[in-house]
Amino acid sequence: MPRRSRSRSGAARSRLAGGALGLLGLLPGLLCCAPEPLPPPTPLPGFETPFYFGGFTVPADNPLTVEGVALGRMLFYEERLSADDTISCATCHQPARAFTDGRTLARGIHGARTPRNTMSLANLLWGPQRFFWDGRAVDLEQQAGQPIVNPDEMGSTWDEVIAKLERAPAYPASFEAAFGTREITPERVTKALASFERTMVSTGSRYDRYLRGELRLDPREQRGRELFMTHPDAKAGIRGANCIDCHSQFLTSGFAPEFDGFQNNGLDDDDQLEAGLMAVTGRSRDRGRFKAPTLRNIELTAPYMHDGRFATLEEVIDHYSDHVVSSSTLDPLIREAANTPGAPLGVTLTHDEKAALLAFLRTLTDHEFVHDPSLSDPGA
Amino acid sequence: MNSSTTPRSPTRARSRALARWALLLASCGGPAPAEPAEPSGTLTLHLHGRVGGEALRMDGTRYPNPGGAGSFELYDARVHLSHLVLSGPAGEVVEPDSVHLVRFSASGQPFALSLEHVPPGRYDRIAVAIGVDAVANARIDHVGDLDPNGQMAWNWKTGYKFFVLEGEVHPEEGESVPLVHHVGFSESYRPLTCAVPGGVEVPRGGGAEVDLEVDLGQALREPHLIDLVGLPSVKLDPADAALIADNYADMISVRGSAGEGGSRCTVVAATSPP
Repeated sequence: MPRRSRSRSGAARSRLAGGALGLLGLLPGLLCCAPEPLPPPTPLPGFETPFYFGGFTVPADNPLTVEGVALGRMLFYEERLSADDTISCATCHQPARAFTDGRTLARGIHGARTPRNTMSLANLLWGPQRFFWDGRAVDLEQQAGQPIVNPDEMGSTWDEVIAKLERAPAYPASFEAAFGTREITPERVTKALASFERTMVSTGSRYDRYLRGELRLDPREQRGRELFMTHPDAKAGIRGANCIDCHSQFLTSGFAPEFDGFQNNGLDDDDQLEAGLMAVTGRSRDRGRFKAPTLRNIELTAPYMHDGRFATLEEVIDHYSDHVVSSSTLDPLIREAANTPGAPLGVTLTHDEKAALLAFLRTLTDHEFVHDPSLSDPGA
Repeated sequence: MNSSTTPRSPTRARSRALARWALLLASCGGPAPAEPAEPSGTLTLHLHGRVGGEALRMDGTRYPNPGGAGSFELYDARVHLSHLVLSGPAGEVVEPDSVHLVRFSASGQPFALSLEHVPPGRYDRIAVAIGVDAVANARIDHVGDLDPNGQMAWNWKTGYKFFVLEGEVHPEEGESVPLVHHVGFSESYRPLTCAVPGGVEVPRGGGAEVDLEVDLGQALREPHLIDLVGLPSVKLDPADAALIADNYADMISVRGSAGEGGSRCTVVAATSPP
């Protein structure tokens, strides 16, 4: 079925035909009305993505370039972005854990406990283009800047960050390579970080190889895949685990349009329901809706949910099977989904079905991705 | 596919970037060169959602349960339209790769669907299908409005949803229940033909418009009167899907222009996808 697949070499992983698009987008500015000098025209080479991920868009004002991505990679692992030089993006987004931290709730500067579980990072070019669990950032650039100045995360200020980076030997030249001058600005920092994050493309899982026709899933994995992809219909005698109503079939992310990728997945009753998306939209019907994360590498990203309440994937599956909690904004497709007519909320999976679903979820693990040298700490 | 909501494929994005570049270059160095004469025009179809005699609202507005007591409200309404063909004295225009995901807005704004590069002249008939044909329904290597990572995809086996109504059914007594009507399967494909009252003239290099009404209430009304309390969910059961598909085949009509009455689209062939 696949028409093409990406090379997994380190060089080829640092990708992108889209860089050429960005270059074209920049040329007009270069020729007539550029507000500032432009990055050198070095589009990332060899970027190919599987057709089953669909199209993607790179912001016209932040093209993917070799130099921009390299700078973003340096900054991602840069502890000087925090007030006391102890925390980098990678402190919470650790490659070996699929860019999560293993904690229930992320810890910030001086051990501050944030209210959220660290989201994994993969395939950020697709799925909802709103970021954070509550969708408050409208693009990756905006997302990348917020933890730096959040008092409970990296606790810094832009003045401090820029002053420290200006004093660091490597950075002025790297900013010049990426953006044309040695000037360091918040916008350039976040653009570079976003560029690096866009190169985090996971396509080496068993599921990907299955989709490319390179292997067969074993019977249990295949059964799990069918359950994942099926909204149950007891009347038609079709059983399903109902995952696909929130997690798209190939990306396994939330859906892209507007707020379609945000759901109330039945964790709490009305008394306990957090604001979630309502904090962004102000709409009461969005209370308790959180971003459906990608399930790529989900085996590596425990604990789970926006508040890290589930320690294992087994607990997650048990939740959707047997412990969905009713509330006024519970997603209608979760509320309606039932394998057994008249059963309480939840899809009431059998022991074997749970095991099959778990087996399928484990096919989403991409060991090449989490050990990809091009995504690792450049200073290590 | 030809849609304003189509995500960029690399190839399409590249051509757009080139076009943008060319446009901006032209705007930088003084007077822009004269544009070549545009031989074709644009026809925009405005699809107005309705429920019976009322404009569609998805803001908590409740509508009577067509086949029983109680009421219902809608949160989301989507339909796949495909195989658009214009015909009339000006000739026949077949839209290439024609698939559009029509999603009705909560505010009641009509969904605009533009057909580009239409040869100028008069057209008096629009052919359109509800659903996607069997070939497209069996493939997953689509982009745009058939993005397999979109919500209209069921799975590899069952293809795409053609018609989606989601909301809440409020019985006269007892708790409300989710309204989930997801209709797919190639058997639910319905090709329609629509007369355009008075015809529409597409000007050379300009645009013309046609207003269509999509009565979502009709999908629950005729010939099969649906009691939503008894049938709040329609998904994979073929008999249930056929009820709704038979009904939605009559849900689209073309508004008349000044002095002309409207015209309901009619089924060309009930269940014979190409």
